Amino acid sequence: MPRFHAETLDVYNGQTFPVSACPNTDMASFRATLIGGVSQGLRISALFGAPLAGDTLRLYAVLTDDNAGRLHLISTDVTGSYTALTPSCAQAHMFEREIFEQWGVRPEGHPWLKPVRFETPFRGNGKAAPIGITDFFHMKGDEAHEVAVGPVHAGVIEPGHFRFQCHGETVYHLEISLGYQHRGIERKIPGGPHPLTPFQMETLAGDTTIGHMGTYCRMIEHFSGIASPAKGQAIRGIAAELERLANHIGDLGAMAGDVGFLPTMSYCGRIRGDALNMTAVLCGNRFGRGLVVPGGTAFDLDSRLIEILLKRLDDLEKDATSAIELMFNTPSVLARFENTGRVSRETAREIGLVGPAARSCGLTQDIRFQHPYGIYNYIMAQMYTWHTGDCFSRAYVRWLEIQESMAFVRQVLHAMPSGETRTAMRGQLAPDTMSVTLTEGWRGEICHAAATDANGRFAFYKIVDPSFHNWFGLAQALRDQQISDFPLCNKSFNLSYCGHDL
Amino acid sequence: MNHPPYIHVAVSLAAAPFLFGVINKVKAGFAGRKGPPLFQMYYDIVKLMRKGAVYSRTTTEMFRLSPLVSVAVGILAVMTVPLGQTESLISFHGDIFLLAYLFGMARFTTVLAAMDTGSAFEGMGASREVQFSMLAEPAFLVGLAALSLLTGESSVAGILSALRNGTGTATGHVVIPICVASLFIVLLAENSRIPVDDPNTHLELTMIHEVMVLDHGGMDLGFIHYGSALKLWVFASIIARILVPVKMSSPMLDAALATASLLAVTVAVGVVESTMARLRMLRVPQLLTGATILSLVALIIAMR
Amino acid sequence: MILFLAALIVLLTGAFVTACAGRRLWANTAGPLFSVAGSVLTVVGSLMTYEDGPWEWALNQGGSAILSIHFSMDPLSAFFCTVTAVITGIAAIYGGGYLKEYADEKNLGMAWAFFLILSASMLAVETAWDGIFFLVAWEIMSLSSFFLVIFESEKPEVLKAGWVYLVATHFATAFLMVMFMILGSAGSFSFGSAAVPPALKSVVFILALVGFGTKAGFSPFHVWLPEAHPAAPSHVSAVMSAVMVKAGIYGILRILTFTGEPLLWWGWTLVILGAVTGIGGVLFALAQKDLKRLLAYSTVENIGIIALGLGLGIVGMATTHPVMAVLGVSGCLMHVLNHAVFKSLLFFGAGSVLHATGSKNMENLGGLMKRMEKTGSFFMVGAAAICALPPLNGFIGEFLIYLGSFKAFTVHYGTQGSLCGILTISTLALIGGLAAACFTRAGGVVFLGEPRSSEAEKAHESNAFMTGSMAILTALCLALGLAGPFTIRLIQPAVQVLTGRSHAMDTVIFEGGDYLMRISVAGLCFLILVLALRLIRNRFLSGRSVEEAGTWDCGYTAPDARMQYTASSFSDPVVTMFQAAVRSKKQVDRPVGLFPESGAIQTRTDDVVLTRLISPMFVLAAGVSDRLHRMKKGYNQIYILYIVLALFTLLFWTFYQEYTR
Repeated sequence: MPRFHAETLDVYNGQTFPVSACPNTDMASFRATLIGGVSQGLRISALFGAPLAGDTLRLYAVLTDDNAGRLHLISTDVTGSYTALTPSCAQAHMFEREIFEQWGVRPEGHPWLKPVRFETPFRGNGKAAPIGITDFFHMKGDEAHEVAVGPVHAGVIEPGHFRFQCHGETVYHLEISLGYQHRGIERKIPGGPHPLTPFQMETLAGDTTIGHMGTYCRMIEHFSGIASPAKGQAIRGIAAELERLANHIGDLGAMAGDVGFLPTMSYCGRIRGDALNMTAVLCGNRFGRGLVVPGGTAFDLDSRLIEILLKRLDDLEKDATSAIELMFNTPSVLARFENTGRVSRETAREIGLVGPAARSCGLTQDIRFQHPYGIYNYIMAQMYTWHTGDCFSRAYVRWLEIQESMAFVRQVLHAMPSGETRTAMRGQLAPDTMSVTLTEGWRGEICHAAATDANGRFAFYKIVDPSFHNWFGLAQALRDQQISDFPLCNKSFNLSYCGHDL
Repeated sequence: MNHPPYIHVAVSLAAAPFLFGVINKVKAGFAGRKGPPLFQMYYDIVKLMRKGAVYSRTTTEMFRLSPLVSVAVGILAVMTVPLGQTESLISFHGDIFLLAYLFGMARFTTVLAAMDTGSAFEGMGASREVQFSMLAEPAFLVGLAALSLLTGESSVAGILSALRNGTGTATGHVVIPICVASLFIVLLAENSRIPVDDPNTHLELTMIHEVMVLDHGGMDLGFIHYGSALKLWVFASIIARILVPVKMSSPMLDAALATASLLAVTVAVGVVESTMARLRMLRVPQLLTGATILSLVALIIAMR
Repeated sequence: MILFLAALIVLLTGAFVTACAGRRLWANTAGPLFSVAGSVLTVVGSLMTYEDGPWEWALNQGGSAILSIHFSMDPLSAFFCTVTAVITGIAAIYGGGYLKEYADEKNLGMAWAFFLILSASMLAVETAWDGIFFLVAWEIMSLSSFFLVIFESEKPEVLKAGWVYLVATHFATAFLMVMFMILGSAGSFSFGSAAVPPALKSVVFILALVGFGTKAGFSPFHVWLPEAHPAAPSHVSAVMSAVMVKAGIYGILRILTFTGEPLLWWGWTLVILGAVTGIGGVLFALAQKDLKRLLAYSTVENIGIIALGLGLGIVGMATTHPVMAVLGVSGCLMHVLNHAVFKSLLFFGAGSVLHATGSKNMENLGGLMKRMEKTGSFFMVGAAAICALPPLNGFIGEFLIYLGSFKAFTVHYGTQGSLCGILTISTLALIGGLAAACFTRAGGVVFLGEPRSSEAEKAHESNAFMTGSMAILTALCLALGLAGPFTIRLIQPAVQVLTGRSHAMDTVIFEGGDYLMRISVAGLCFLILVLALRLIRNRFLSGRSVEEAGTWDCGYTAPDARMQYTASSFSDPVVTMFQAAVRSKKQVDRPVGLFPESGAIQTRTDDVVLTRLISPMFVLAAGVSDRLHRMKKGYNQIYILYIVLALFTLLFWTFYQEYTR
């Protein structure tokens, strides 16, 4: 049981509580609690601001205790500026920059106070900084050169800017500047849920539709005090694991392509399509749009569809296994993967990596396992880790998770409950209530934190995509690496640009 | 009775882009795909030749010169290396060096054109290119020197025609495979094939040859593609001829055999590309040094 | 003969005149005029000697005076004099343009005086026919060049370079003095009667190798070259790199004509020395940031190639294989000529860059081609020439050396010849690749891309004298590249002074000329093809849209000049590969931690021979002399005691000699 400096609110994943139940302390205690908690092994899942009257900002912090499966909340009020947490607790780094950008509250002493999304502040009349123009880190000396990659990339991928400081082929520093996919979704939700909100949630990160939408729907259900029926939860679980499957297979194929290993690249490209088509069997959309709704799922699985899915799953397993094992059995591929883009376990913990990236550094961290929700309460998903922290590790953990997902889907399909797939929604959301919902998306921990106002409309809705934690990990992985290994490292993380940019 | 070399030069000039089609079909076959048409490179070149031009403001005449030099060198190289018969248009003692240094001229202008753009990507590619070709050139020259020692000839056409008559000796049976291995590695390096470079990659940070021509477009890119095709043709011809030292009864059969062995070498390139991953950049010099050592070994054995 | 002597008189008169002119402005016009006049006279005189035959002339005919001014010009001397004269003449034109801006601060008259004395002394060295006279001319050459090196003596690094140069050249002269004493031990110092006692043949060769090799720039005696050549004003750097080092080569060649049949190990020594010098030179060139230092190391590399050719020739002579001999020596002499042309071109380019931007640091330059189009284009041609790329002249010399190596083993010349051939081919191939890396780096970083500093941005084209002299040299590069078949026949008289003449040699030269003719034809075809393709492209594009845009920058809104490759990054992979030889020091201030405050990187390449061999030797010498210094207590009485002791020793020795007679 962690010991905190000040009193925190102890809840579990998805639990609702009155807004006033969250303890509000002074800044010093808030700092001490956060720093103390992190040093005892907790993670900051969210650290964000919610506006109060005037210039004051209420800072909320969500500390996640993976071992105990509990979340701890604490808040404080600030005006103008405060002493930065980052020098003592690097996990707060991106959050503090975001708070500064969105609300204008300055963390004094922050070592890396640069724009996050180049967005217009949420309050005040400030303008957005011109995108991409920031004070990049420079290596001194006229012999180092800079390589600026992006925002337009050579492949058909999302835009983002990477600034390398190099000498010869060695990268001494990588700095990542995003914000090109900013759509201002967090701004659009307060006062909702609006008719557009579910669509915005589904496309927060296009390849994590089930992840984000599932979180949102559970949030609505918690606020409405209803639960999805068992069949709905089972189908949600299948969709989530299919999403994980498809993306992991695509990632392995892309990694093979980046090292020039063409067979696996081609096969995995096709096999990912097969996995996406299985999602289409569920709901007619390859990415699962329209499948997950508050209260359950909009589509049902009858025995005929279950047969089809089982058959496709068997084919998928056979194809994927042969293509991927071919890659892992080729020494030239392993020579590229091993010892490339290493992130140490200490660094991973220090910056708060989540998801497969964290698990490949040996950190045991999986929301499905430690903070179970939905179907994962009834059917366990195994957690796999690998210790080396390099590209091989990230590839291998993905392969292990692919195998686990296939087994999981098969198990759920065989044990499919009967009954309805959705519960009818009650009209309104509970007023003056707050909740934090975590999900294990295929990239890692998705965190939604929301509170309703007196009318049962959203007062604020904070979204933290796993990429928000992990982009900084990619920057660290490239230190002292060869620049020609960057695409491989980037693919091995495969982070979301739009999930970060919201 | 030999056909005049002009016909064979014309055939080579016309047929060179076909080799890329063969390689791509082989790669597609391995990947379970149909792949692009065999004549795709022709379509690409024709398409590019119809375009206008956009030049970077940073570039100078150097940039506009390099595609022309690539094609000119390719044409001269084709005139130096015979296709399946004894004569070539340019043939004299020591033309091996002319061949190697002409390619050096093409590389020189390409590297300078890359640096002309002021782009870090192209500078990176240029740096890698000079590093790898510095190691590949000794392998090439020493390998050909070994064959020269073996056959007693000192022109490319002379060596290849002497080999056609078979060497018969035990030394020859040892030297030739070693030379083929070494020259094959040089072919992979000089023509930017896996494991040295990936011609299909779109990742600028990993490219060597393609990134140097990143800012070329339109007719210039067409010239560059054609020049690369000629270069591949020349290297593959040399290896094909060394590999199949058989003389046929009639010139027609001879030409057919030459074509077949050329295609075999091309297919081998495709197979290597499909079954191996790319080497990390750090390891490529080791591969090329290995090729140089193979060539030296061949030379020393041939001296006995 | 008259013309040559007239040339010397013109040069010396010019020196006197310009020295008197001092700081007056017309000194800067008089100097080049006298130099060009002297050059023209020398060239015509040398070419006439080729036609008419060798001549000899002495001031004191057979007198007993110690110093006899004794000239003789045979084809070998004529060849070297032609090269010297042409380059000094063109360098004088360039210098006239280059020194204009120094007219107010410096005594240009004295500078031109020393230049003219240098030219005259080089010509004297190359035609001297008396040992003492040779040494006098050699010393005058060294001293006049020393004064030219320290032209900008207000800069401490220039002074230091001058001292290094002075020490090195006198180190060389010491060896030469001993050598000439041995040569003259038969009685007269005249070269005509130079007799090498057979037992001392190898000693003479070694002394010549060290003495002349230092001036030429053989490793490990080259350490002065990268210091002195960059410090001098650019027209002097050009003359030093292109011509003065060749005086060293001339010296070795001349000594070889006295020693009769060369021994096999001489050839091997030259080959190995050439290989080490060549590869070492270009590796260090690749690691330099200073453009002129890069060119100086490149001179070392090319001297290595020349030595390689000469060594191949010597091995051929020693194993009585005339084909190898004549091709090797022809390649050596051909490269002497070609290197003189393109190295001076490159130094002129570097000088123009320095003149326009005030900087020799490649990392500060960039984008100069757009601002100095003529200089840039000529420099690029020079860079292509030095990489031995057809159809330019650098290829010809290397081709002859390659051909010699090839003949060494295709005509089954036995193990020695074949081994020599293998070594030569491998070395030349490696050097070729490294040179390509070095000069694409030099040309690309300096002239292409975007300017990396405001000085580079504000650069302007040089005046007509500077660009004109570069134009002449560029035309020469192309002409010599295409005129291979003629040049090889032209240099044969010079080659035969060393190798002798035989039917086999004549045949091989005839064949070689034929091959060079085909190379020239191929070169012409290349040029025609490029031109034709260009016409085709222009024709096609004339009806279509041709636009300009920025270089692909991935759509980033604010690209800047830092986002291009630096010279140091360009050469980093190769330099790291050869780290064992180059020992470049990379000082990396790594960015530490998640939020690094700073990071920096700095590389430094010191000459390995300097830091590991020469400097420790000097430190040792300083230590020894320090200890000796303690013997000088500072009291006069002690010194008197030393003198008395020395006298007593001498007396004793004389008596002993008398006693034992």
